[in-house]
Amino acid sequence: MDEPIITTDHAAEFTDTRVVNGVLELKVDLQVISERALLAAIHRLSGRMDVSIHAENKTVRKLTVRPRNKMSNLQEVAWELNTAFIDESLRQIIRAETAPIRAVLIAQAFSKTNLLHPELDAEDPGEDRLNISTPDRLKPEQVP
Amino acid sequence: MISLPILKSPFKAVEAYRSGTDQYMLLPFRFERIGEQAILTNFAGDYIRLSIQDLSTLVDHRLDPSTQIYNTLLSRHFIAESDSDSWIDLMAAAYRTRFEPVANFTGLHIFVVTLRCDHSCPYCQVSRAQSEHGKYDMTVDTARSALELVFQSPNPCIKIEFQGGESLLNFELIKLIVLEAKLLNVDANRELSFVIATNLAQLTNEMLEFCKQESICISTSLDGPADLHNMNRPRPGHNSHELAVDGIERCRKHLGQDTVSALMTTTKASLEIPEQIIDEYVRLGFNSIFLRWLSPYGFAVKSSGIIGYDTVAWMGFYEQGLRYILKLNQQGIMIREELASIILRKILTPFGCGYVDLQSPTGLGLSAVVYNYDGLVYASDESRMLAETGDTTFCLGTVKDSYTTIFGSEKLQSWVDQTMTEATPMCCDCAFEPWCGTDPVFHHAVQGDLVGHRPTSGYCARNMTLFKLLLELLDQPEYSSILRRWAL
Repeated sequence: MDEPIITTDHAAEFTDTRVVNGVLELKVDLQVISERALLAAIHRLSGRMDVSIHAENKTVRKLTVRPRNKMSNLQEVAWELNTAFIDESLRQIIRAETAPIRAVLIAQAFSKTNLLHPELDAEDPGEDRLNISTPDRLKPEQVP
Repeated sequence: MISLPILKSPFKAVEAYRSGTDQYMLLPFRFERIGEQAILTNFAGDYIRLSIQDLSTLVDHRLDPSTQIYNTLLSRHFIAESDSDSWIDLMAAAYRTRFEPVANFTGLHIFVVTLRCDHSCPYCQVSRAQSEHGKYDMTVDTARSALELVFQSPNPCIKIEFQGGESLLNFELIKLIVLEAKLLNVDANRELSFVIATNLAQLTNEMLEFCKQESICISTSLDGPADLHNMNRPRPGHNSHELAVDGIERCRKHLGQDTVSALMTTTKASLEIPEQIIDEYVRLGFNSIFLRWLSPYGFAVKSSGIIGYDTVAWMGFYEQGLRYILKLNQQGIMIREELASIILRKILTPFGCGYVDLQSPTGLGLSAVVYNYDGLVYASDESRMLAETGDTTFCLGTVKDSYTTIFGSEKLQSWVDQTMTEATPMCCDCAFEPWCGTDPVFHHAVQGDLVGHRPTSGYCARNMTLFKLLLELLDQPEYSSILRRWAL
């Protein structure tokens, strides 16, 4: 079994964090955090901080973070961002793994017919192919 | 020695029911972090609380099948084992049930019979026309055209609500609409009901007699004790509260105890006295109260500096009020808070609700529609309030248009398309999505966009705080049974 994909213990490994002239700078490795998770996390926090993103190279993004509340503790802001990255990464994993099931559920929910067991739509409700309604003592053969 | 027959065990050994580690699959769910815990909601809207560590273990497929957590997640459809697919029908049915109000289509039809009013409330979202009798009244022709539209709705339950201005100032038209609707319903055969929204100041015995005869319910405004109510709702004579209380008593006497309900609106002056407002409702014999915030629409915007407040202030008021109501219930005084009841119904049952502000897709036009006094058709009450200040974005047409022109319009379809929270940014990943909704009129008015920007949205902040508060209270044994009763 593989090691956990993401845990809170790994938070510090995601980013290279520093404060430059009162502005928080982070470097995020896209091999650890997907671009989609990165963007989702930044969107979620966009009410509290302004973030600009620069591509350092193909796999590293440099974030410049300015909290909207000037009194914010930048270490706490960095921690909040890291937590958001973890959460969004988990959400990406869940979404990717459950997308086909979600599609089936929605299709089944709004279909006028039974998509998974279409034979049930044609079945006579009174039919008892497995002979369940007959008491065992009246059945010709008892199954041992 | 007699050998006993070896009996076949009627049950399989426990191991037979346990899959090995990593034998489960994740079912669709979302989560929201609350401190060191996470709230998870599944596809059907059921919820569970897990530690962040357990969430991580769950997603990594490392949950131990012998644990209680595993069995709880399995039985509540957050995970499934590969040898069973019975959960598919169960979850699909629950999901379909949640969307039943959409399938039924428009149930609430609001007739704005006049804009005239004898009050001049600063928080009123529509104009307060007091002169030129007739200019601001709905005509008989408009009313008849609107009625034709009403009965083309496929909804088996039709509620016609009369609003104003002060609706009783055009009572003759109300009578005509009620009688003609009943005639039309002989063929339409719907479950038809009527509500008059009124401040009760103009209520006469003749009106009460008609309401009794035609089984019409009354909805009135009551903002709290006399001082607050009269300050919020000024009228000549400064006696709005006195008239409202008198009207409530007369309605109950003539129509029955449960035929009159009241709504309050929270102003800045209300924020400090939630207990006194609730006490006033209890004193007057109401068994429910809706602690409503001030809508940022129409003419209310002009007064917002004097009477307005921010989401944080309203949430403080709401929580203080809700906790007080729970305390009253513990003392045997049965009164419920309506907003909490609506949300609890969503959290604890698979059923959707008709409350327009918590719908996905939007309830605009789908849950409610407004036939304005001037013949214009609006997608909701808030839409026509916005229109009173010149913004007709949510106008769907006129009562002379055909049903399909209005309700099949590209405009309405586009709103529905844009407001499915399953697909809107941030909502699509939010654990509270199954219980929440969208409010395009609010976001259009405040943020200039139908969908809105959730991270800075007062609507989102308010709902998130409400959900967290209710979940916290549900976990407390002293409140749980009371709150669960409200969901019924």
